[in-house]
Parts: sequence; C-alpha cells; structure tokens
Amino acid sequence: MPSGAESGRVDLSTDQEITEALVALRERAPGALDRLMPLVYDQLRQVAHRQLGAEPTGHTLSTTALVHEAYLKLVDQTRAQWQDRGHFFAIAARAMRRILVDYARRHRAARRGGLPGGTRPKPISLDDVELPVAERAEALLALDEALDRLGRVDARLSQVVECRFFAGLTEAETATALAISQRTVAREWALAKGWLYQELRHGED
Amino acid sequence: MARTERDWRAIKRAVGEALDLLPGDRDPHLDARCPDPAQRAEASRLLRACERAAESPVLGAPAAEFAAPIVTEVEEGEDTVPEVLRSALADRYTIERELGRGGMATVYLARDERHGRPVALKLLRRGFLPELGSARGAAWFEREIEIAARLSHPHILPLYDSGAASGYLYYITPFVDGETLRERLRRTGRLPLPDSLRLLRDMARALAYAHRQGLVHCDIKPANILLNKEGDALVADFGVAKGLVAVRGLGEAHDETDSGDEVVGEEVPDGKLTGDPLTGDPLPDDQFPDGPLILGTPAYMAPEQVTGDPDIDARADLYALGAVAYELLTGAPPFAGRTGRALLTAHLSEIPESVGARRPDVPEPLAALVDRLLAKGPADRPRDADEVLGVLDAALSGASNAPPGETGRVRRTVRRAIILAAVFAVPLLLWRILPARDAVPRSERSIAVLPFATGNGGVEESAFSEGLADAVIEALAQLPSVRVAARTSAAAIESRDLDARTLGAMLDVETMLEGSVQRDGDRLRVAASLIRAGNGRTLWSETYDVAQSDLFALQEQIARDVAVALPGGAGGPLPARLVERGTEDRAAYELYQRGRYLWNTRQREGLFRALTYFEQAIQRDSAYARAYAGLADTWTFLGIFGHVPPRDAFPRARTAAERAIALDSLLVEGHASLAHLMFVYEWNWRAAGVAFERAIALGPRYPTLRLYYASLLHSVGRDDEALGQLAVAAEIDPLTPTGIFSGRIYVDTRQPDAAIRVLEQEIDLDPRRDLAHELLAHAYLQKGQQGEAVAAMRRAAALSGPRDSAQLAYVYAKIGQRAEARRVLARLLESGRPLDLLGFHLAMAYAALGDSDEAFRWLEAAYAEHASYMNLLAVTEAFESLRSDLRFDLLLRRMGLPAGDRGTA
Repeated sequence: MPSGAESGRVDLSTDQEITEALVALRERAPGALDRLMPLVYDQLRQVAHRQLGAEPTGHTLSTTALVHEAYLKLVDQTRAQWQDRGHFFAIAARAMRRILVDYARRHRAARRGGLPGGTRPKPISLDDVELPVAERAEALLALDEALDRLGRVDARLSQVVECRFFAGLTEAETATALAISQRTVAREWALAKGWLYQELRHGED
Repeated sequence: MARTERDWRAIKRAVGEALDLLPGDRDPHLDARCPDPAQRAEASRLLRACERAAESPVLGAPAAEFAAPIVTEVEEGEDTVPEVLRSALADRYTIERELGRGGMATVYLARDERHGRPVALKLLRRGFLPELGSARGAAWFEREIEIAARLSHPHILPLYDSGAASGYLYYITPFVDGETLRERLRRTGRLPLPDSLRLLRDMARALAYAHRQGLVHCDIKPANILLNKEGDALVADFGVAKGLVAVRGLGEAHDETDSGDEVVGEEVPDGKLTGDPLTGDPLPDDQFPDGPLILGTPAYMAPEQVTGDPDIDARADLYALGAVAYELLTGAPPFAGRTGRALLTAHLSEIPESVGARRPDVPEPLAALVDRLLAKGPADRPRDADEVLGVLDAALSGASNAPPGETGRVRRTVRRAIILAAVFAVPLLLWRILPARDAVPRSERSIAVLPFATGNGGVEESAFSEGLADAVIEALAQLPSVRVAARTSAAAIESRDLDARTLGAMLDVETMLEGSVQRDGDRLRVAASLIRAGNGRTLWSETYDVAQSDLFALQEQIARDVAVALPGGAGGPLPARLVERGTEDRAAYELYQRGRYLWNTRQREGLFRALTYFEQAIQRDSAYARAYAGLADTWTFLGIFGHVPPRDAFPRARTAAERAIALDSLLVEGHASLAHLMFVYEWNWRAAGVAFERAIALGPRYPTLRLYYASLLHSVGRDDEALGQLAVAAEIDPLTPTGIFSGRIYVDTRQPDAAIRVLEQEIDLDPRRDLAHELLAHAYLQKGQQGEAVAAMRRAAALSGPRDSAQLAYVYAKIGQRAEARRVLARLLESGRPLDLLGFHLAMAYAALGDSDEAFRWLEAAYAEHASYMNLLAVTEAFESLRSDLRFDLLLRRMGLPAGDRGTA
C-alpha cells in the first residue's frame, strides 16, 4: 500500500505527469513544453474555480496565490528542483492569461458583442478602476491580441507581460520564471508596456 | 511595420538603455545608437511611448484585479435584479434598467411610483461584505445612511430612501441626468481652470456644510461627484463609506481550516494562510498581496485612512478633495503610476510632484492650496472646508494674495518613518538562540525587543523586520547583566495589543525596544525607541536612514546604541562585534530570514517555500551554516507533519544538519536539528540524548530545545527529568507551550487533574492548539467525564483532521460506543487517503475496541514508515491493554525502547 503522505493533491496522476514534464523540460526533452501547457492550464482552471467558489465576491481571485498554490499542489516537491519552479511559473503565467482572456470572451459572448447603452468603445485604458465591466472585457481582449503581436516581435517581452500582469508575479519571481536577471525584467517590463501603449492607442490617433 | 529582427534588437537595446538614463540624455543616446534614420524614428516613438506608459499607467493593476468583475459576472451567470428584490420594492419602485456597475454596487434607473419621478437605485452587492448580510450589519449600515439622509444642500445629492430586502442593501437618490466627474475626466482629460475652480468650490461648499453637521464622507472621488446638465457638482454617497467601515469593524473574516491535510505530529499548524480563523486577522504572506479588504479608493485615501486610524475626522475629506483637485488640474491623481501597496505607501511617505510643476498656468495660490490639502498630517492641512473655500473664492476672483500667514509651500520634511500597526502571525517556536545567562537578579537591566513594525504585512517585510529584531536580541544578549526576553514571548503578546505597562509586567522586563522599518527603493529607514515598561516613558529614540546595502552595519549600530541607552549603560566596553550573522552576503541573509519566517508558520505551503529560500541562501553562500540548519529543520517538520514521507524527508534533514555542524560546530541550531531528528525519526535515543545535552550546553536559553528534550526523556520513561526540563523552559520563556508536553506526561502517568490544569492554561493561550484539546479528552476519559471527553476530542478533530478523527474513534470505543467508533474508522478508511502515517493513532482506536490484531497491523505499518508518535509507544497510556501481548514487547525491543511493565497507576 503506498504510504506517501499525498494529501491535498488535486489529482494524483496529473501531478505525476506535470512533474515528469517539468523534469523533461529541465532536461530539454523536445515536446515537454507542449505536454506541460494543457496540463497546467487545466489544473489552474480547476484551482481558480475552487478559489472563486470559496469567496462570495469573486474579488479575491489572486493569480499570484493561484500560481503558488498550484505549484505546490501540482509539483512533487521531493522531486522538483529549484529550476523547475521557474519553468512552472512561466507556463502558469501563460495559462493564467488564457484563463482570464477566456472569461473576457465568455463575457463578450453573453453580451452578444455589444456594449450596454450603445456606448462607443472608449480608448483602451487598462488601469481605470472605474471602467464598467463590459469595457474591461473588451480591453482585455484587445490587450490579448496586441500581446500576440508583441510575441511575434519579441517573445520574451510578451512573456514578461504574462508573468507580471497576468500572473501577478513579482520582479524576482518573473526573473526566476524566465531565467533572467531582475534588472532585465524591470527593463523589459517598461519596454513591453511602452510597446503595448503604442499599439493599443494606434487605432485612435 | 515590417522590420527585421536585427532592427528590432537594435531598437530594443537602444531604448532599453535610454530608459536607464536621465530624460535629458535619452535622445542623444538614441542618436548615438541608431544612425539609421528610420530606426531612429521608430526608437524615438517607442521611447516616448514607454515614457508616457510610465506616467499614466498601463497595466498598473494586476490582471486579476482588473478582470475581477468580469470573472464575477461570468461566474454568476446572467446578472439580473433578483426577483425577490423586485417584488419587495414593487409597490414603491419599478426597476427599469441598469445604469452602471462598479466594484461594490450596481445602479439602476427606477421609477418612483409614488411621486412619479425617475430615481437612481443603488444596490450593494450581496457578497461584498459578508457582515452586511447580518441583521446587525444591516442596521449599522442603515444608521449611517439615515444620518446622511438628513443632509440638505444644493451640492449634495439627497438621499430619498434606503432599505434592505432579501439580503441586499439599497438606497435611492434622485436620478441625475448628466455624468460623473470620472466620466467627464475620461472624456476630456484635465479640465480648464474656470471649470476646475467652479467644481472645487461646489465640492468645498458641500463639504463645509456636511462637516458642520458632523458628517465625514470618507470616500470623496470623481466617481462620487455627479455633474448635472447645468454643470453643477453634486457630491453623492455620503454615509456609505462610513457605514461600510463601521460594519467591517463588526465582522470577522470567516475561514475554514483545511481539515483535509494530514497532520501527524506534535506540532500543529496554526491555520490557513488566508486568515486567522478565530480573530479574522490577516496573516502576512505575500501570496495574498491584496491583503485585507481596504474600504476606500486607494488613489484618494488620506494617510490616516490608509493606516486605519479610528479617529478619522473631516480633514480626511480634505485630503481627498486635494487629490481630486490634483486630478482636475493635471489629469491624473497624485502618485499616478502606482497601484496597490505602493500607492498606499506613497500616500504615507511621499510628497507628490507639485501641481504647479505639472501645469504652469495654475495660479500659485491654488497650487499651494492643493499642496496643503495633500499634507500628510491632518494638522498641516487647511483647518476646514471654509478655509478652502476662501482660497478658491480668492483665486476665482483673480486675487493674487495668498491667505495671510501662509507661505503656500509645503515644507519638504525629511521623510519620517511612520509607525504602523501590524499584526503578525504568532510563531510558536523560538528559533533564535540566546547565549548563557547566569544568575542575574530578576528585573535588573532587562529588555524585551518587540518585532519591528513594517508598512505592509508581506512575507519579505515581516521576515526582514523579524530578522532585524533578532539581530538586536542576539547582540544585546551578549552584554553582561542584561536579560533579554525570548522573542516568542514578545511576538505572542504583541498580537494581543497590550499597552507597555501590561506587556512589561507579563514579560517581566523593565525596558522594551520597539520600532518600525521602512524600505523604500534602496533606502532603509528604521525608527527605534527604548521605553520603560513601568510607565511607558521613552528613554531613548533614534531614527536611522541608510542604504540597504548597509544593513549589517545598521544592525550593529542599533545594537550598540541600545546597549548604551539601557539604564546603567552598556556595563563595560562592548565587544568589537555584537551581531553574529553567519554570513556576510546580504542577499543570502535576507533569503535565510524569509526561510525562517516561513518555517515558523508551520504551514505546508510555508514549509515548502522555506525550502526554496534556504536553498537559495546556500546557493549564494555555501558556508552559511544557519541556512543548512534551517533546511534541516524544514525537512524535519515536513517529515513530522507527513507532507513528505519520513523516509524521504529525514535523510535530507540529517545531511543538512551534519553540514551545518561541519561548517560551524558551535552553532546551536545545527546540533538542535540533529538531536531532534535523531529522536523523532532515527529512534536513536542514546545518541539523541547526547546531542541534546551538547546543544543545551551551547544554548542554555533556547526553550524549544528543552521541549524536545523533555519529549525524548518522557519517551524513555524518565519523567521526572522531563518535567524538570519543562520547568526550565517555562522559566526562560513564560509563553512557550510547555503545557502540551507536561499535559501528555500527566496523562500517561494517570494524573488527570494535573493534566487538565496545564492543558486548560495552554488552551487559554492558544485555543487552536488541537493537541491540547486532544490530550484534554484523554484526561477527561481518565476521570470518567465522558461527555467532556467527547466534546474535547470533537474540538480537536475539527481543528486538526484525520489524526484526531482516529482519536475520536478511540474515545467512542473507550466509552462503550463501539458502533460509533467503527463508523468513524470506516469513514477514515474509506476516504482513500494513505493512512500508514496515522498508524499510531489508528492502532490506539483498535486497541480500545479490543481488536489487537488490527492494532498491531497498524503499528507495524507505522513502524515501517517511522511515523510520528511511534517514539511514545512505550509510555502512552492508551496502549495499556496491549502491554501484555508478546507482539508489543517485541515491537518495543525492535525500537530500542524500554520494554516490560511500566507499572503506572
């Protein structure tokens, strides 16, 4: 009878898969990333859903907490090495992006695309805390597309955005995730924001 | 923009480098880096975009925050006005359509049937504050609204009605055909001067009136200012924020402890990281950066609101007014570009860029007014809204005289560290060692060092401040004739919010050191005060402002300054170096602090993260003995609590402990770690005993060491010595949980009255210690108080989970409710979780049921795993019934425990 103290795990077989995939990634086996992505996405979604269910308001969906919790739950700590955490975070950040963009799409679908009261879409501003929900969803979708374009120009810049914005990771955590220095993270974050700023305002000048 | 990759790389590098330079040097840098004109042009565009993005922030708030309402809506499905509410209001109001939705409320257009007029119905979302759902919460809230409803002023949006229906709270105001100031700002950006002045005057008049009535708004912001078609401003939502703050104070955050975790071991986790289950206090942890629910809008919150000062007065509104004025005039509120904690901290300690600098055409008196409104201290702001009005009127009429007596310029004071209240998780174990202290007369030159307050409760900050306190404690402990209170005591009491006098008495010290720490960029500001415990008088205080890289020197300095400031002085020349750190690498040091901090939480997540931190510390400094000891301790806990199989965890613990000792054979922590794991896992009693003695010789004032040693002594039947060690521990640190250990000894030696006495004391100190409840149940069983026994064990089970479920089965079996016992066991077995690590407790239950075969089966399983508690096999009273069984004897021999009848009565 297995005697490991594997309490609190989401799904035993999936963690094993994820841990294996991380090991493979560490050893640079081809296809490891592809294997990892859908697994992590799926698990993160479940974890997110559970977190949301626990909170009446849904406000406290903290992606950073999610990513950390997922890492602890999904990765066998006794086998994982220090670098694996970084890999996991990077992938989780991308998964977080998909999850949130997913919500935005569903929101748009429920509205059948239109904005309430026939409002005109306003200039994209992702920091306005007063922005109504529907416009937030649209803004997020626009950002996602812009981020895709950025990714084609410079993959790492888009990853930094995923880590910092979507997963809410700190500079240090992002540095770990992408295996770069913190200074580089700071710099790339500034560049990415500028690039996106430019890109998102392009339509309305 | 078709571009080659090489082009992009060049541009990226040029712009990236430029951003590091001063603004004036940036363009020349681009000139130098991008000779090609097309490249240059694009680089320039990107650079400008980066600069603007930094100013008016893009992606400032984390995506989760931004997307939260989206997520909520999607998760809640199509959000309509609940039918219950509609019908409850049907005879008065007909809800027509949704006008808008914010974070906490939705606004609907409705028709007031009685008066035949359109109204706005603002509905507070049900989940927003759970406390609002209670009758008491709703009553509190409504009271605040009622006070606000009495206001009657041309620039205050009147409140027509308010009420509660099916758990929703709502209030009714006139429907204003127009827009909010927020929408206007979004539309046009900053406002022309005459418009700004007019709006500000309207707001000031509204505030003056309301403040005279004794009402503070508490949430002045553009979204709460309505503009009608005539361009008048109406201040809305008076009373709401105040009401919510009042209600929030009533409530306790609810959080269920995760009883799914297997907890096998003596030490018990405190509860989930998301919040203390009983007090509702947030536990500091940067996993949850959002922290406690802050009521207020961060960009406009006055410093006293940020710190949660209960004595907020009208001047908080003035600050907010200043922030709004700032935004009207410059297009963004002060500190634009910050979010979350950074923004709140900025309100506390940063002077915003002057309005005049951002917009030169603002008349000097107006700019000066805004600066004053944004003063950190309420006393530095204009006295009241009337004074503000005076300045505005003068500015409007073009008069250029500043109000008499003002220079109009805010003094740029030296940034002062601000002492903030903070709540720390209660670390249950002291891990810092204090050097030998011999016969010192009590209360002569004694000091307790309280944890330094930090601005936020994140792990990094808390770990840092604890590290600072620890360094000072260690340093002071080396002084002759100074008794330094153990850190556990200080931290445990701190969270109970006691005054200096009581604290001093409880810790039995004559002085206390308290202070605050603030890290800002690469600066470090520490304020420290030495106060006399008896009367709270300050004996000495000092503020330090150094670069972070000078941390070590600062610790040394603080320790010296405090030593000299003690009554009676340092008592002789100070040693060349007071603070022993174990490493000169500051980054490694900080990593270590965080590791220790997280280790102290004894939570699963915290422990795993602690591993990472210690490993990283070691990576930076491979000779950092303490980090190895930390690693050993962490693996030990992981093994004890069953988060990692013991056979995986403890060998790692041993390797780390050995390395610690090899690097520094005088380091107590290394020996302590080794002794502990030898005892708990390797079951090498003799060697463990020797190791404990050695560790104690190195660190006689380390209470935890005594606790573990007592446990070892009890396991091998040396109870008198065990109790002796516990007495020493209690003397060193009155708040160390000796009751758990002595309680067990009393239970095992059948002294239930003594057990109950010490265990109830323990529960008083920490009601969530499930072990205390568990042992209490055993004591009650011995006294024949069955009802109490069941109740106590139920409490334990609720707090801990599977281990105490097995114990519950034991209790039922002992009182004759065998069917119930079997039911509990069946449930446990069916849960499908691996249970070998619970073998000890399961065996107990089966022994009580008389099923010795099953009991031995589980004991064997536990033995194979080297599961926790097995060390107590020889002495645990509950196994009395198995003692005569040969198998028991054999098992004891295999474990090297004293076999044969213990003869307790």
